Amino acid sequence: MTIRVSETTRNIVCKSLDIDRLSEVIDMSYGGFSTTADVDRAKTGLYSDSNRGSVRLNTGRYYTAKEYEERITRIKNMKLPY
Amino acid sequence: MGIAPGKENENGFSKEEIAQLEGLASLYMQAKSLILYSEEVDPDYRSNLQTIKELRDAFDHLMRIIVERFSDDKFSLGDVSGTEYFQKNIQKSIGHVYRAAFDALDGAVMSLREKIISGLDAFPLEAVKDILPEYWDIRVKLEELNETIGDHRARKDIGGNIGETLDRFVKDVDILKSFHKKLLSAGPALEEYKERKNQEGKKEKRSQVQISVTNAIIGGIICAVVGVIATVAFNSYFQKTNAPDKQAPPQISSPATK
Repeated sequence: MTIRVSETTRNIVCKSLDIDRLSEVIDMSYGGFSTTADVDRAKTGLYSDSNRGSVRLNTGRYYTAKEYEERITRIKNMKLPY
Repeated sequence: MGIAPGKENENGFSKEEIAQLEGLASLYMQAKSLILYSEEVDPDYRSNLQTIKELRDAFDHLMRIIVERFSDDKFSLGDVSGTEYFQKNIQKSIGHVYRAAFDALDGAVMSLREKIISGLDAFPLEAVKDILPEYWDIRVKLEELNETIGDHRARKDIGGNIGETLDRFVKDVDILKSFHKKLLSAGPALEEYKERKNQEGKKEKRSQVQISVTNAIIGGIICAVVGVIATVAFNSYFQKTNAPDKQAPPQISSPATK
């Protein structure tokens, strides 16, 4: 199975990523994921109807980076009965 | 893919590389089981996007290896290739899978901590002491683990003893998991204890009320008796003091009679 994108697509992507050849993406890293560059829950929700991927993600059952950090702080501060 | 291992095959992997790929596959299977467990134990059955991101990055490094071996276009691969490129990327891939596993275990510890606290909060501490005496050991473990949550994410590179650290972490999570299970099954016994203590408390309160009432009655009677005695004593004293003196007053002769 070979998938080949058209020359136009290649040119658009290469220009936008500032690379000469599509194969140069191999050593590029994906974007970070942190409290400052977080997942937009509202935007994710917009595509949930058309997305055929994970049910958990489509139904919003996940922790974004910020939510995860907040969860760590909340649970770390919970007092155990003593 | 039908590629025989060995350097003689242009695209193939050496025996050492195959062993490393097997190691990665084995680690991935363990990490996957921990991720699934972490999602199941989460109070809201939520996934952690940090974990998904680590898996994405692990996949990316694995694919770099595959592309390097099978792509005709090696122009884009930078300075290193071959074994060196393989080693660099397999280590990174392993590191990301480890971090995914640690994220999953962190999530599991937090979920179990939350569930244990809310489970225990419903019962008096004496009931927990009596029915789940091991809680005090678990408490120490929970506090220890609480300190380390999120620590591994602060480290960029994996250490040499990462496997042992992961094993120890899994063992600790298993201890918490067993305790949580025990806490759930001890629910009826804890409820019974709570009910019994409530009844005992009510009984004690009732008997305290009875004692108070009895004391009040006795006190009342004593007061009444003392009051009666005091009244009688006062009356008799005043009667004595107010009664006309029986001794005849001294006769004073008036000057007229003389």
